[in-house]
Amino acid sequence: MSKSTGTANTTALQGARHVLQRSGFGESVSSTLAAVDAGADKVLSERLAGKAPIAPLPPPAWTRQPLTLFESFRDLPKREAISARKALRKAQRQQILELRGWWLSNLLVTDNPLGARLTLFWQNHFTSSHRKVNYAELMYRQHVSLMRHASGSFRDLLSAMLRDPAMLIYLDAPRNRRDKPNENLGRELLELFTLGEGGGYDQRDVREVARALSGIQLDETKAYRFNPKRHDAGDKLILGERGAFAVDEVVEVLLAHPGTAEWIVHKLWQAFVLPEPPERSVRAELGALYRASDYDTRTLMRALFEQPAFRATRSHGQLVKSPVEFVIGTCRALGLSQAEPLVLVRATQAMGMDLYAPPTVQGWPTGERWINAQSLLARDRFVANLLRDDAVDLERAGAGRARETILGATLASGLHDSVPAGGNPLERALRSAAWNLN
Amino acid sequence: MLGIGLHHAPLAAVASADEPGGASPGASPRALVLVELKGGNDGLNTVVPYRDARYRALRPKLALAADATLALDERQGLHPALQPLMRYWERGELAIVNGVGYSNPNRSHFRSIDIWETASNADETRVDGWLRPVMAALPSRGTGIKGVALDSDDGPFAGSSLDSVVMGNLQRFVNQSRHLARTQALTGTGNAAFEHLMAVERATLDASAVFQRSLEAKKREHDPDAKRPALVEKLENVARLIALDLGPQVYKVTLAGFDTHVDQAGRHRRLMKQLAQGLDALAGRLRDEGRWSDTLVMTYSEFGRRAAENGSGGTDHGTAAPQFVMGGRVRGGLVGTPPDLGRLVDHDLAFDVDFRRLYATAVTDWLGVPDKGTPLEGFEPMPLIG
Repeated sequence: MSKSTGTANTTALQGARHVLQRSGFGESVSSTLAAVDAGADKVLSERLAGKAPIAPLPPPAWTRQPLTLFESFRDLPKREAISARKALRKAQRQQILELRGWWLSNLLVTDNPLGARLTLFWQNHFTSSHRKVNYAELMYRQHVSLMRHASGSFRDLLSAMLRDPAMLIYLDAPRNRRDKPNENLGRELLELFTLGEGGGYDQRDVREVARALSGIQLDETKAYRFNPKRHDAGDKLILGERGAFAVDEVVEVLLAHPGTAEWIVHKLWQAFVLPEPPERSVRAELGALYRASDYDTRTLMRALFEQPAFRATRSHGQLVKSPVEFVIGTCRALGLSQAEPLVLVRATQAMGMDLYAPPTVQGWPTGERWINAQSLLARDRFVANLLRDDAVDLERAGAGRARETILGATLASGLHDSVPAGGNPLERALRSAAWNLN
Repeated sequence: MLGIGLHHAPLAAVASADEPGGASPGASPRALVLVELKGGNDGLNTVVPYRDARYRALRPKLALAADATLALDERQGLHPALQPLMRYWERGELAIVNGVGYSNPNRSHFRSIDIWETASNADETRVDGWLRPVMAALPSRGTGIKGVALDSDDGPFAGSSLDSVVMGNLQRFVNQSRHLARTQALTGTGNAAFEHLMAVERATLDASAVFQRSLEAKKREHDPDAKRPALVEKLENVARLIALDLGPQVYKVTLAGFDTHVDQAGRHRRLMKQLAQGLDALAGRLRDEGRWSDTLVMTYSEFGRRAAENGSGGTDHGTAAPQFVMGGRVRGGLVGTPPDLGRLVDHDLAFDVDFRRLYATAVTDWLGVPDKGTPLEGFEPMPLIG
């Protein structure tokens, strides 16, 4: 294959495209060709090493200011209290919109795309929603916490989440008291965050975990506080382990159970490797590896990327891009490092993904469920509008490349023929149905 | 509900003398409207044992006052916010089925709604929604779109993406689908996600052509008025679609917010109000169009809530709960055993009627689709259709 005609070896091109999409958001045609030269393994190594900050852009100013609480209006005369609360709600709506724009703007330019993808993964795992938490400042703090631990220790991540104010508010932890239990956090901790549904716990474990988590409170600045007076200090029996457990001990009991590692493996597999869950033996093997590494997520990701299932051509294009992956991926494919944040935010919302506000505690429904009549139209509309934008130079983005190279750099093999011929090949690729796939 | 991969639906069943669709040839086809109460509706405060002292003992804060509830008989009454439904109760068009649930109840949202939407047992996992075989059996009318979820997810339609459409807003839908590029068909890709994309694209384009016509009809009578509750809007759209007879026979809408662990009273009241207003709007419009006797409405929810209130003014996940069945041909009344607060099972209400019997009623008695080979096989329909 000749460089001067802009074509490249198909297999190598596909390998590079696959790795760039799966470990990030995909890149422009030129960057993909550069990745071919470097080699897929090197690209993966660099991404796994990922030292650059996930979110390099400065956060909105209000993230550095003290919280204004709804409670602070309690002593005001009634009419003023009502208008103060209204103003604060309005300010909060504005802030969360800015936060969404900030995160998406970062994804356009991040030099740590795998760290970013992992952060998005954890945001859909350790869910919380601004609609209930009410404070964009707390959503930001949770986000920072997730970024800090995204590729690192899952133990640290889990422990951080069990002290995270946004998480605690979302799952009613401060309402969980020795004399008045509330099982919400306990249940979701087992069902969603660690063992997973059917992962080997029962109703009694839920109740006992709830007991162990009692006494968690937030102080008057919404920071984590433990109140021993509200804590049920008695013995609990959780997953066969007995002790006067509190938060930290619960973490250890959960991590000691092989089901936790396997559940995380299962979820990461479906997010990064294939939509079908891994075979039992593979799941067990990777789970054991995760535990042996003391829950080092980077180690697990490396193992996932080395799986034959990941490397096989068969896995190409099998995953549906989430709205964020779709929006950011399209911009990056066109070489855009900047875009109007609100446009990006509205697009992802229209596609069904409102950042910091997943529909339920289970998070956003992923995979094929991203695609229905509504979301398909929203995706098409986004690309159509973007291609009309002055900042987009289609000619330059695909300049000097043959159609085959452009398609090879953007779409998974086996799907190229679904793109109608004629017109600008890059435009055709980005408006094709296949562009929705990773 | 999980709907992984596209399973090609078999060709529609050959029409017999008792044509599937539940109508004699020439008559209007029957419609089924499912209303999901998302989050787990508190049945005990919906259909209230207003004279039971144990009810008040279990719920010192949340129990509804006896004189506030709308008495249905000497034991049970409705939440006061359901007032708009009383007219249907009095006409005998509202059946309330007590104790709907299943054995080995699961209290996880994710798992339990899965069970309800796939009609599976608690210990099995199914991929297809319970409507999938129904979609396959219903005759293809108009566009061939047989089911519509006026919401963002397919739920009980999962697995029938060839026959059903999911969407939120008709006009926007029609405008945007004009620009969809038609993908060149590929076969044998071995890529389930791609095939799903293709199926959705085809269905979108087909539905759009149809809904364009329905909108043109709607423009003539539309009256731009104040913002109304979402469920009212959605059910009015359902009524319009039923009246226009464009093909779909099964509809699903969702009312969300029922997961009331904290401070339930106000939120539940508002939800009850919206539910009643929505159902009233649907029924009213269908009656005007002469289609009320061709329509069956059924609520469902992943579970009820605990008999006792919790420490946060709310209730935690429970088990069985009552469900509503409404329609012009429904045999109204209270059905099944009222909840026995003296015989709680692990602090929860025992179930009396397996939810699949309600589905079986809708599928066999109402839509005339045989249940053989479906997850509903063996579940006896209830005598709810008159």
